[in-house]
This record gives sequence, C-alpha cells and structure tokens, in this order.
Amino acid sequence: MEHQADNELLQLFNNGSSHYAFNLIIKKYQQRVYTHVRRMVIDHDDASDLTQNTFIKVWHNLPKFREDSQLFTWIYRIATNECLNFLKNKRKRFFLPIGDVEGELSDKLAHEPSLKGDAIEMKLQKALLLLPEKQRLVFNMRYYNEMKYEEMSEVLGTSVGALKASYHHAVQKIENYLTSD
Amino acid sequence: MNMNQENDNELKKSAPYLASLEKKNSFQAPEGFFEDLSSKIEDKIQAATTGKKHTYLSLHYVKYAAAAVVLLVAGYFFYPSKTVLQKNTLTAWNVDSLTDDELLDEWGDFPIEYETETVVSNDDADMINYLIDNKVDVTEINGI
Repeated sequence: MEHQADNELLQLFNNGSSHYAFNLIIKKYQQRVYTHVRRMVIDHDDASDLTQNTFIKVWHNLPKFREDSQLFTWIYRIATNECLNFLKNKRKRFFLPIGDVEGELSDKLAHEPSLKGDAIEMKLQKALLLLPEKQRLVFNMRYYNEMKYEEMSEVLGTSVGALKASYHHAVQKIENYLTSD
Repeated sequence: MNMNQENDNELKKSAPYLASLEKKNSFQAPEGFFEDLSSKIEDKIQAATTGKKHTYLSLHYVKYAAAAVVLLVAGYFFYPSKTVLQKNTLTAWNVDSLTDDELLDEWGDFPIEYETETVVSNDDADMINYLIDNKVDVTEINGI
C-alpha cells in the first residue's frame, strides 16, 4: 500500500481533515510502532495496548507538533517512552528488581509460538533480554530497524557517540552469549 | 555506502556470528490485528472524550447536590434552636409587652397543664367546715 508523505498528512491534519489524516498516519506507522513496542515488551496484548496508547498520545499532541523533527521520529519517541514507562511501572507495581522483569519476559518468550522450533532465534531473543533496557532499545533500533544514529539520537535524546558505544557493547554481549555453550 | 551496508560492515567486524544470522521478525501480530487497529484507537479517543464530558457533567451536578445537602443539614441544626431562642426571648423579656391574644398565638401550640386543687367537694358539710376553718364570711362572698 502506497502511503502519503508526512508533510501531506500534516497538511491534511491542519486543514480540517484531522480524523482522516490521523487515520492515514495510523495506517502508515502502526506496523512499525507495534513491532518496535513488541520487541521491548514481548507480550502481544501489552504491545497492543501500548501501540494504541502511543497513537492516542499522537492524536492529542499532533496539533502542537512543530515539524522540527520527522513525524516518524516523533512517533517513535512517544512509543519508546510508553515502553520504558510500562517496564518501569511493572517493576514498581510488583517491587521487582530488573532481573525479575527480564525473567518474566523470558517466560513469555518460551510461550511464543513463532519461536518454537527455532533454537538459534530463541537464543538470540534470550540474549537480548539480558541487556539493560536502554541498550536493548539501541540494539533493536540499529539492528532490526536499521535506523541512523542521528535519528536514534533524536528519539532517545542521547548523543551519537554514546549510542555508538552502547550499540557496540550490546553487539559484543550478544555475540559472546550466542557463541558460548 | 548506504545505511544497511554500513551497518552490515560494522557488524561483521565486531560480531561475525551475529552478522551471519538471518534477521527475522519473530513477533508477528495475530492475523487481522492491523485491520481494525485504527478504529479501536478512534473508539478509545471517542470514549475518553465522552467520559470527560460525563465526568464534567457529574461534577457539575454534584456541586449543586452538595450545596443542597449543606443547606439541609444547616437548616436541620439551626431552625429548631432559633425557634426555641425566639420563645425563650419572648418568655424572658417580652411577655409583659404582649397582649393576651399575642401570647395565645405564641404559646397556643403548647399544651397547657392546669394545676387544680379540690377545695370544695360536692358535700355541703365539707363546704361549711372549710368555710369555718378558713374564717370566711359567706355573706361577704355572696354580697348579701
């Protein structure tokens, strides 16, 4: 499906067709947002809720969007904050240390039908869960979404240098985990 | 060199095993999930807006209901004491200045207990004894 350019969508939104334009924005970005969120929270229902919350926030804040950044970078930033807040609240609610949240996510991985029978992929996903949350975010954005460091910097509000270092550490840890017995 | 090549080269150098793996999207959404996602989102936005209106309306009414309750409670506590005060005030200071009719109007609702003493029985002998004991001149009474 061919999607309209962001600036056209924003024009539509600002010129009285806000609901129609918003619908097109959802259609254009829903899959990328969902996948990004799902990789962070693993569970489909949680990912579904967070994706919906992300777009609800987009709707409420779009009139204030100043086009200083790209539309998708901005949406990505909202989705990322939703994920980080969700994981933080999960820890707070159950007084869980970081390791326990990752343990819970790891259990969910074990029940993921698409990973059954794919031992290498399962090992890779388990390795990812051993990373600190922000390092996992950086890895996902660079490895899976193939984002430029500059875009990642906009989303995460971190310097390009710090992101490069973070990605390098993440890759090393995963490589070590995958090549160990 | 494009982004993918740059990323691949970076990966091959630092993590050759990871670089050799095929990138998969292991987390597929259930079939049909994206077809109605936008309507779900629109519904939630709509519900939140309506919810806000309801909340606002409820608060609007609660405000008046609370005021009515306060007035009723205040009325309950203050009205009787005010009446008593009025009556006490009448009793203490104004009784002398009131006419009989005004007093009756004021106290008419209260049952009046009369204290009576049986001073004369129907028996004439008792009556005579009483008059003698009290040294009453019967002729004076009758104006004879």
